[in-house]
Amino acid sequence: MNHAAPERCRTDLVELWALWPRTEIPSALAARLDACPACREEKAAFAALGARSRPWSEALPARRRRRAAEAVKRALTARTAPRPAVWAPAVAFAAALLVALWSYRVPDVTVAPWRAAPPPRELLERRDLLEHLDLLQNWDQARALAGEGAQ
Amino acid sequence: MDAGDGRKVGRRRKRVLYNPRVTQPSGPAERPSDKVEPEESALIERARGGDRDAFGVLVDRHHAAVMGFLMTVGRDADLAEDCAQEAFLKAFRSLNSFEGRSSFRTWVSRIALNEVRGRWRWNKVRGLLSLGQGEDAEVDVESLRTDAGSSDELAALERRMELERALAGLGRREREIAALRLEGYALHEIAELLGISEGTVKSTLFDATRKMRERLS
Repeated sequence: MNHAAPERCRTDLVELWALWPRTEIPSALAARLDACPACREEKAAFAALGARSRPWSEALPARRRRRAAEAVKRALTARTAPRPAVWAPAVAFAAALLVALWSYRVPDVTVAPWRAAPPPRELLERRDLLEHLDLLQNWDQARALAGEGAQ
Repeated sequence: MDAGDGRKVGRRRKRVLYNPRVTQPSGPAERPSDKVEPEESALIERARGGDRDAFGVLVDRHHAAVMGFLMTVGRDADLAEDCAQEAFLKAFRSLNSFEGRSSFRTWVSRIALNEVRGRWRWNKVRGLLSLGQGEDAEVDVESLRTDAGSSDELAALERRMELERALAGLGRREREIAALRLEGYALHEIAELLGISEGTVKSTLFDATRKMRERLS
């Protein structure tokens, strides 16, 4: 069905559907819609859809609605209240364990190796050998060189 | 306005805490109903001081509408409940950033919408949408049917599900606007919440309701 004045009718229809899901139409708008047969049909469709339209806030079962709102309030208290220090004993235990481990390891770490096992006396007496340790380390190589020279 | 997740909506401006005693500058888009009602502003002030009971009154007043539109936008009753809860908790934590330029309901709804959109994006990333929660999926109401205590409640649920099937055929923006309108949000509230003009809301509603009628007929 064609509209009497398409542009004007479209403006009126946009205004009409902007009212949805309400079903009451302002009298001035209703009068304009009644003047056009196609708009009258739209007005009837508007009433029909409005009658079927229902918000979730009404369609949700009351029990679910209440439960959801209560859950928010519970969470509000739970998340904003100071939490009990349930972690404190765990931290104390961990700290005690660390101290115990450290105390156990202290002698191993702090006692010098020469105190734990002093070098043999005869080695210390050969101080001259220690001063030329690099020569001793290369002794085998020097001997090999010496052997080659003798040949 | 703070969207509740740390992001600022609109132009960055000097942060001014909401004070109901100070008259806020009113622009051409503002109407008396945009502002917080005196009684509500008193509740907000008390809640800001840590009064959870006062905030509980705000929850009682607005939770159903927020969860309602999230049902249609999120298409899952449990998801809607989670997002609504998270939105109210975020609102409580960031009440100091609420300036009162919009209604409390618009503000908390904006937070809720960000929350549900974020979860949708996350679900998309995780590929969970292949499990039946596509763009045109209907609301999952199985858990609601078990909650219906009487035949009247069950009938109301089924009637709403008919409408939901019509809403499922709409685009994302159309569905958001229709869902908000169905829960009783005013046109200017929707425009503010979605950051669009009131004219766009009206023309989108016009298209959305036409599609809904076609699907229902």
